[in-house]
Amino acid sequence: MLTPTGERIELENGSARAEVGTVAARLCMVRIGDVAITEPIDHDATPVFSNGSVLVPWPNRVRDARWTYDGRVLQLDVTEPARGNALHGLLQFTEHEVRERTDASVTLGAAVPPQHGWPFLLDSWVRFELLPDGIDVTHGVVNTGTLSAPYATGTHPFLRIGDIPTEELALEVPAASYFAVDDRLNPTGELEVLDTPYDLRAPRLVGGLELDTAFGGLSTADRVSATLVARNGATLKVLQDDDWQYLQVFTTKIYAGPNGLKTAIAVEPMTAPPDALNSGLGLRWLEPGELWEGSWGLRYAEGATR
Amino acid sequence: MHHPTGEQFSLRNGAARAEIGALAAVLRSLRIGDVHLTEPTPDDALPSHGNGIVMAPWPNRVRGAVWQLDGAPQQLDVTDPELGNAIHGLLRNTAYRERERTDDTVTLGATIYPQHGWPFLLDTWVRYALHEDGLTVTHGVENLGDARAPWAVGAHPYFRVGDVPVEQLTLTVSGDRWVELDANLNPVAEHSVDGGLYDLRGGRLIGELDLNTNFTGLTTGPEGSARLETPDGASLNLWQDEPFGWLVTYTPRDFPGAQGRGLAIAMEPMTAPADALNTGEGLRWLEPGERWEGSWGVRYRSGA
Repeated sequence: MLTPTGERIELENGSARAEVGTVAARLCMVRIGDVAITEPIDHDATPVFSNGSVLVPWPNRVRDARWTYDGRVLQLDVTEPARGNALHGLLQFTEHEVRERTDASVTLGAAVPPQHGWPFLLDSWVRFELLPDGIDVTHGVVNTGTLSAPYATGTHPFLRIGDIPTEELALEVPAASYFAVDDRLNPTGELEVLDTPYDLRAPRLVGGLELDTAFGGLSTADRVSATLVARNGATLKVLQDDDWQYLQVFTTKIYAGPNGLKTAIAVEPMTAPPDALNSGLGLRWLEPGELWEGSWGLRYAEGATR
Repeated sequence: MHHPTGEQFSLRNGAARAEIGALAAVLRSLRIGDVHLTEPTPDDALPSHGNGIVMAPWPNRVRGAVWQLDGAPQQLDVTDPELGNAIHGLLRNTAYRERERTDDTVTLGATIYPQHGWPFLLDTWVRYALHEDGLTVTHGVENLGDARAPWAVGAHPYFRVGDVPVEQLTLTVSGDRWVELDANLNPVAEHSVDGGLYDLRGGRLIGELDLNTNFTGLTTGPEGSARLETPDGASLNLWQDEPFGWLVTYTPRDFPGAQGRGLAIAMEPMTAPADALNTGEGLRWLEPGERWEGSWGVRYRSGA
């Protein structure tokens, strides 16, 4: 069935279920048994706040939608007109093709063609592998063009733990630094979190957070870059491979759910911080023919009491 | 080889050849024998100056990249940043997929999904049918969503007639009205062409023209809406079905050709003028499930 998120691919493994949409290789739903671990997107709904979208070939923003390549200023399309930036890469509304499929996994692929401000040709793919207790997601790219090409990636899942109100969950992020931003949400510097509201190294209730913030200096043990904890002890861990050294956290109180507006939280693993096309931070330059893959994931564990 | 315009489709019919790329369903080349009828896009290049692309669900510009739907402003991405507009629709960076193919025809399809400033779901397609003496291009759409949706479409070919320098071609346009543009290339008024700079009904040498001009009041149907003619009488006739009531002519002097940058002429059949999402002019509203198709094409005739 064709939906506003494209074709829906259904995955299953044990009691786990997931749905992926072909537009933006979007993670539309993941649940373990009857516990949803992401904000689901209904079949007839248009996603809000980029929920579940893959971010390629850059996550977050490019300041003024302009960057400099080989001494030339390149003008990207302005995809965040209110702030004058280019946001979330070039595949936000691109339909992907299904390349491989099993009961528990699917690989979706799409070319990133040359276009305004982007003279490169990439082949991009995303592999979703559903696990009994979570999901592993591998982003891959090969430079199919003739120029050395910059690349960064990220993802935009909104997390939850079943029906527990998101404001009652506690968030822990083992990040030593955060990126300060200007009024257009472009980075002005990487600062230490110590003694700031951005120190999440000890868990804090999501209801008390107001974040649209990139974190760096991650000290990940066992790949864990963020943990949501419910009062009943249930946990949802975000995992990131070594190449994913950054994490964006976005909280909102106006997420449109089935019962009206509510609090929601996006936890966004990234290989580069905001404005990487200009700063070069985390940016990977791929030679023609060069291939890269890297993974992030989610793991759920139920609490002692339910 | 990975082509910048994606998968390639080659059509043949007699001595006629056409090359089409999946990206924006782009017409990359059209020739009869060795007489090129369009400016060809090289294998390793992106189309320059919009050469050959399909423009849907609107051609040309949306003023300020904003339009109104039931009183609510719709903010599109700014894809013409220099002038602050949204330009040439939503499929410019989309790879179409093959739906039907024969030696001399191909139908390519692409879905337009809901996105910034565009809360609609449309199925669209383009059918290229190559003839021994030209090409017919049919654009189609079906509204897959549950709300009525606006629709307009256009194409952006640059034409030529063999190796005759574009300066030496005579351009005839049947349009009896032209659209005045502001500094950001958005329409402000419509005027009669009578006796003025844009009266091309009797034909003018392209070398003497400087056009980025939207014509209407065209002769639609098989008779032809516009024509290019060489000094020795060879001609290329452009025809447009009745829904294709507008034609943009554009004469950039920095178009990259085989001999370096020079003059080229785009002749862009469109079902609506610039900024139709705001003015409503030429805009077709499709009910849920409604389908639409319309065609334009070119015919070549050799000279003396």
